[in-house]
Amino acid sequence: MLDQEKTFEPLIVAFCCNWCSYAGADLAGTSRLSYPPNVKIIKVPCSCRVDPIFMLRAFGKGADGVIVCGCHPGDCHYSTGNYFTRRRFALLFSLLDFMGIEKERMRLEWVSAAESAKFARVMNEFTEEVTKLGPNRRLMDIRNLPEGYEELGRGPHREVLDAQAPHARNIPSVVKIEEQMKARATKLLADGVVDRVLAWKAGDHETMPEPAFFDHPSQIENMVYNKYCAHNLSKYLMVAPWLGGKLFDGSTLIFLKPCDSYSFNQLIKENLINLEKTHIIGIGCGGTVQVEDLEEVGMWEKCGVCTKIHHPVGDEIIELENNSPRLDKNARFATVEAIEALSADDRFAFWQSQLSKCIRCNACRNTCPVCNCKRCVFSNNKYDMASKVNATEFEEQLFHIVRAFHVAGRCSDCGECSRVCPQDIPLHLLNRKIIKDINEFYGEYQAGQDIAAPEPLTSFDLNNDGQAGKN
Amino acid sequence: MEKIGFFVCHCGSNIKATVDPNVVLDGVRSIPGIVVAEQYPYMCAKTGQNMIADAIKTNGLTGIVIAACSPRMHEATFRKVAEAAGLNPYMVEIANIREHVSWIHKNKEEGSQKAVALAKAAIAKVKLNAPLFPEENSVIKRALVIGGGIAGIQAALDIAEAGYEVDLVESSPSIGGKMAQLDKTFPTLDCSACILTPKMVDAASHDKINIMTYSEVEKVEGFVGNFTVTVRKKARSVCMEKCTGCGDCWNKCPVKNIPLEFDLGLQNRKAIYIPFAQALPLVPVIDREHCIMMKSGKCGLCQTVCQPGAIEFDQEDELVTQKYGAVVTATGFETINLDKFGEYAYNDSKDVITSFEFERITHGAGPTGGELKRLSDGRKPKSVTFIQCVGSRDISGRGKPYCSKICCMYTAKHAVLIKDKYPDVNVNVFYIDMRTPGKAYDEFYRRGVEEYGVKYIKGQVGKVVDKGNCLTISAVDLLDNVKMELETDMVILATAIQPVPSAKPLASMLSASIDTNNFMTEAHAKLRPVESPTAGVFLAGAGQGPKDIPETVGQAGAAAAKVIGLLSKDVLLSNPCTAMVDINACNGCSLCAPVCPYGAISYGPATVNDHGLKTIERVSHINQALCQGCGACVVVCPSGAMDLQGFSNKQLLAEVDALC
Amino acid sequence: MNKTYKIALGNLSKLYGRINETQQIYLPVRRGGTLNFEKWHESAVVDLHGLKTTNTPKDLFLPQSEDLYTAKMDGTNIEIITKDFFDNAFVIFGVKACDIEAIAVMDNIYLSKHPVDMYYEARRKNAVLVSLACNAPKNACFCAAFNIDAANPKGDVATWILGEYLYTQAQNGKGKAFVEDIMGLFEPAEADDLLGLKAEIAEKAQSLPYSKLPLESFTGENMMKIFDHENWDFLHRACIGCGTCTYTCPTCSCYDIKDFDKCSGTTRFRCWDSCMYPEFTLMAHGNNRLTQKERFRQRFMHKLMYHPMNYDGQFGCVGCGRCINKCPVSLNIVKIIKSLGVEVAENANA
Repeated sequence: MLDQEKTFEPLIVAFCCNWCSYAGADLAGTSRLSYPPNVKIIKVPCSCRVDPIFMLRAFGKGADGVIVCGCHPGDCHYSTGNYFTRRRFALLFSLLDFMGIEKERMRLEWVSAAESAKFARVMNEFTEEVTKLGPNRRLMDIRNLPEGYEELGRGPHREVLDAQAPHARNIPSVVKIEEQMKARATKLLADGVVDRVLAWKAGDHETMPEPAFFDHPSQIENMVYNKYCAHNLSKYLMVAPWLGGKLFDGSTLIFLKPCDSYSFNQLIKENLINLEKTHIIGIGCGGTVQVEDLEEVGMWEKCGVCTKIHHPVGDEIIELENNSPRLDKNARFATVEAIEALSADDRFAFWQSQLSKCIRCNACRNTCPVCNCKRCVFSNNKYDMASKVNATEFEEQLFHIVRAFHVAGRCSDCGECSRVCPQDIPLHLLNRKIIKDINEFYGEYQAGQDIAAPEPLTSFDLNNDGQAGKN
Repeated sequence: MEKIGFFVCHCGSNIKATVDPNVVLDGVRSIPGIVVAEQYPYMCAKTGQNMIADAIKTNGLTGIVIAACSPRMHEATFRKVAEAAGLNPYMVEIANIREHVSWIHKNKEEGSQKAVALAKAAIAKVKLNAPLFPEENSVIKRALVIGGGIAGIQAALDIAEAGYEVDLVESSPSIGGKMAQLDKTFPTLDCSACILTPKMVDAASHDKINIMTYSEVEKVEGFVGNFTVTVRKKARSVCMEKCTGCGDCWNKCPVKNIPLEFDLGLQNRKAIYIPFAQALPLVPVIDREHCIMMKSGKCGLCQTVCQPGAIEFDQEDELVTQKYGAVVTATGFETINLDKFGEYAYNDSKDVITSFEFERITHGAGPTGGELKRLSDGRKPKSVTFIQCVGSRDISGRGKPYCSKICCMYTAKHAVLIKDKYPDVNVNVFYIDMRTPGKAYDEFYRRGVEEYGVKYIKGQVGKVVDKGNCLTISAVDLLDNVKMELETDMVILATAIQPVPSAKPLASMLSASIDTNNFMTEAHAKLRPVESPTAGVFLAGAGQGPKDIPETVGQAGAAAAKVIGLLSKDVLLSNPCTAMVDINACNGCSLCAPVCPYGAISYGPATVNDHGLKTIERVSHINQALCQGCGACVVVCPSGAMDLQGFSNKQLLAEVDALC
Repeated sequence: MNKTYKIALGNLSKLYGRINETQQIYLPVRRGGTLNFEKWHESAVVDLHGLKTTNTPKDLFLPQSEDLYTAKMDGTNIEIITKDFFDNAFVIFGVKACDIEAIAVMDNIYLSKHPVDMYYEARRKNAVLVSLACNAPKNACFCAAFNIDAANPKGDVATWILGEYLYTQAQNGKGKAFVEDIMGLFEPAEADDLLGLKAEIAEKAQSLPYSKLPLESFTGENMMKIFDHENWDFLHRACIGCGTCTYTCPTCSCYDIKDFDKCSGTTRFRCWDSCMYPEFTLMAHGNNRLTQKERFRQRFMHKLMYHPMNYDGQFGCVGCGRCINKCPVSLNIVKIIKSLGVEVAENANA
């Protein structure tokens, strides 16, 4: 064993900014300051050019440590690039740590062109630290079913899962605004204010309403609104014909539950909604329920911890009679905190056990209002990322990390990803972890609240990001 | 199929001593695509260069990799070699096996293997390189200077002197800015007007300078070398050409008692007025808000008395659109509002004034004709107290977190001015820290203390109360650590300064960034202090950060030099390593624009052709002339629609793959 | 009639252990909150009482992804390293009647016509299917609509849970050999013991809300009528284009073949694909189905028309009800059958 440890030579990839750290590495060479040959440098124009995917890919392909080096804050050749880097990697490292992946394998360091000694020292330290950790496996295995696993549903994991299970104790409030909604829809259609209505239509079974468009007042009788209408309608109104088909020219009335309205507002912020042709009616919500075999099995976790009772956007509002917040606003973080409290090994085991169930059906992605790319990076050829599969040794392992990260700062915590997961993976916990981190590191932020507010990952604070960003 | 040439340099023994070139060559020779693999003692020498050029020509190479010293050393050299041999210069990659390998690793085996790894990464990258071509953009030989204070005047003069046309835009009726309001300047105490007015006249009479006062920038389009700017010339209601500046109109105007902005409201003006006697142009404006003729259509006295017939009530705002190669922002500063600082009784007492108001009081043309008087009762004060850092260095959120920089010195100036004219007046100054770096600044301040007997008290004032015939000040003397009460007749507040409110919308029009305090941001705090991150936009004066007159003039000159350097070029070659959008993948989500420090990203409709299915969609657009190639936008683009030429996603991933 | 045996439920883990000595055994395991077919080991939480696994047994015959071969390049030499066919005997235990029928659908697709799919065949040959009757079919189940008998599941060996016992009957030679091998753990039982249970199950299955569906119109002569039906315009409208229905469907069998550069070489693999995806059968000229309506229609036309037309009336749906439970937007095949089946029948009569 000891012998093995001695012979283990980690592979370390260093992304160095051209203007500072790469020059710092050059100066280390000129000054003959040695550091281990394990470190291989890739030059980038700016540390902000380093996509988290590069780091994950390096891990996925066998790197044991990855380090990103940039100019000191305030010294960026491009003024502000490293401030984005700082936030991006602070959140990424924290997310990976949350998944039980050794955060010691990844680093962000500021090295100036003059700091050759610092460059050599950092590389020596980092190599030593990674050597101690041994070969990188976790990022490669996060979605593989562990051989001879223990039943991970017991112990602390059980508690986490129980918190996610349908909340039988929470009873949805009775919603009696369906008739009001129908009346408004009929009126607006009849008056020609809108050309169609987006709402829910009755299914063949009470528990099976589906999102639907209504073009004519006579169809409104099929409209329903009840505790089974969990679906977030936001994405159906995206300007670009998202799934092909013709662009709709007319105007649309959309009904939005409070949580949906945050998603919708985020889409407005991202310029993906033609607001001029949209009439929005915010509607109250008493919570929605999970259905299995056409039977109600309890309230969705997302509704159990919901605090969104207001609509940040809307032309009209149809409120419930008794609208009151259900929980204090941080209650939703309880499960995230429970996972944070586990050991790194347990966190990894938890996520491995969950993510190994994934069948890559893409329901989480396709339902997510902010997963609104025309072609997902996992479906196009931009990063050479294989799609459609769940196989070993592939970047596929990274799907859920990249998915959560790509919506960081944009996710309004609508919880749809977990609601639609056929394998009941609590995916939204990854997003919620990022939200929690953003709140703690950079101040409270609710996506979809205010379309003028700068987003956490595309803005920075000169003064306050430092401490939080440090890993 | 690519044909790659690979060359290892020995760099004499610099590389060869710890990296075996043969091992490196053997390590890469069998990589698909490698058709040439050679070594030479000095690749950068003429013979080495010829070797590469010959290989390119003989084998029709599509890309080359040179394993040698740092690209910072000779990448440019090898790119030129490639270009001369007919290969696009961006088809060259360098594997840095000297600084990153041979000079730091002593073990030859390890060093050689690392060199192979770096070579493989460079080869993997070069296979994905694409020929890149810089764009050429012509330069409009005309500059726009925004702001007609001393910064703008100086910049305009310097640019015009170099022979370029300059438009100087000023929002108020006259150029001159804050400096025109000052009485004397520190540390020499020469009269502000005496040194400023000649500059104003120079600018006004310069045949290359076109001054547009009472005008504001309305719209900016374009980019470095080719901005199109629309300026709104507000209706002056007085014909510039006909007016002689005789003054008959404002003498006759029946509307009085309008606070004169130039005097910070301490004197009144008419509805038709000039802000100050030396105003340039010496043409009045009609304040339409107060003019009776404008409000009710009855009056017209000014028109009656104007002999040249210059009064034109029906004038309308005029929009002037002009093209410029460069823009200088010299928007300046103002003092902050003191509503949140109730403890200083500024709003309650006429005898508590700001330092800028004091400038007018001590000024010969000011409300008191230059005599020191209490504004409440006209009494000459026996004691005057200055309070420093009012709203500056304030982290409570009421004021500004930064040091306003000029206050220590102007307070020293004011104290000396009072003592010089009225040696019997007691002058106290409450300060937190004295900051007097600058040529002859500290000497000046010490003269105030030592020769004039100005009393400096280190401490902060807690409260000022107006007792009617005097004011009381409660403060703490921090050096003696005692609470103190002081009676005084006049309090002068060194109020924090901030950028003018119009700076923010202007910055957004120019896509120039501003910091959290709305000061214009420089492209690099140390190395490019007079340039905005947006190419072609330059910074002068206090709009970039608090500064005094000499600094402002110096910065204006530096900005002018940068403008002249830019305008002296006929065309600009853009850096071809810029971001690029695949409009087929872009959905216009607009995440990319906020991270671009150069304002190079805009959104607009484009025809997207997806396998023959054509739609018009709102997508991202990169202005190649503005993009500097940092890659910030690429990483925030979740779909990978945005990519960076020269450092593309696939190129960097290929390097990662080759190393791992 | 094959002989009936029984084993106390309490002894089942012994049985699994015994089977595991010679071959791998997959069965419904509850892990991380979900029921799926997983490889048995001692601490696995086996749950035979759960109704449906999320994953279907098809995972074991058509894995979500499977390497085919690797090509290594050295200079101008290319070395092809092929993968051996799967060759380990294994048992799937506790497969419900619908999923057993689904395997028959898959067999038709992959084995009934030449060329047979050798990868599928290798796994299929090595497997013993042990089915389990559904004691408590639920509302979303509609196997009865396809004349599948939940009380008498097929497979190589059929089992029933009655009281505290698991009853078993071999269904064919393969099953017989399997049962004989583990006979020591069983005790003989009477086939008649099961009659009451079977009647109860049959009655339940017939009384479920979707047990009778208007499938009569889905015949070859109505193909174009159904294809061109205007109802598709609204039926597909809520579809978000994910692959949940396809990947949890026991009969969806489409795959894609892709190459992946592993640096050590390029590996060609095949993986599940979904006709719901815009990238499905993507070619240089683009996609042959440009809108979600066309993709959506394809899936149901395939299940209800094309498959039966190609395979002697066998529907491509077995009524397992997974799509009813799992579709993010509450779409499912029952809604399609009801909408089109009724209207086409009515039009035909009119």
